[in-house]
Amino acid sequence: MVEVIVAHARAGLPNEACGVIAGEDGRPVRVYPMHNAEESPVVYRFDEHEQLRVFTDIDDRGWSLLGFFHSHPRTEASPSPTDRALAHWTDPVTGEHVPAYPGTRYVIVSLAGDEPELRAFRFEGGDPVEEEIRVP
Amino acid sequence: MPVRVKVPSVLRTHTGGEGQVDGDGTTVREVLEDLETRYPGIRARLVTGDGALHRFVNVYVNDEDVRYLGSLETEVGDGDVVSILPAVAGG
Repeated sequence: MVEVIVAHARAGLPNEACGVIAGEDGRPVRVYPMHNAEESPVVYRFDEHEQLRVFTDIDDRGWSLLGFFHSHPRTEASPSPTDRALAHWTDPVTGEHVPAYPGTRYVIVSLAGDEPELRAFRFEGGDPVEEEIRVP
Repeated sequence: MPVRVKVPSVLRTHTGGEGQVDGDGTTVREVLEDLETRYPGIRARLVTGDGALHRFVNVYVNDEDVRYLGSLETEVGDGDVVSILPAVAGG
């Protein structure tokens, strides 16, 4: 699945690429490469209709939403300010920052170096928390 | 019109943990107002003070994003499914 993520990131150059990682029993089971609706080298956004189709497919298969991935074509694999901002919802009443997708992680693949680098982060309201990626 | 509403995790604090709830109305706006009567606070998470849909939330009637229909005035019919999903975006 790492290969699928890296291949999709490379195919999307010079723009950022993105997608979904589905899980079963907490382990990744499938990667869904998706279209970057922004078609931009510095930002990404899921196409709304593709997002619904993918999420519905994951539900129909009894899988869970393990997380998301996107590429940083020219920068390191750490969350940008935009990543941090858009991974949260600001409660309009309390002003509290809550994760848009609680319990998920965001994998960032950097293509800036000679070899692709993947790192995973949880956004739980405060600073991103890095999670180890284990490749079997 | 009775509809089913799919609620994302981030809003389930308002629905007592329920991922699907019943709603009623003839438009998306009316459905959200109906939900607000039973799940106070949910409407403000989706609709701005100016009465527009928040930028980073997607609302669908069946398979169609309401932004491509009539936004909050999109009509709903008996048995329609209204799905709410936070947008996924970053940099």
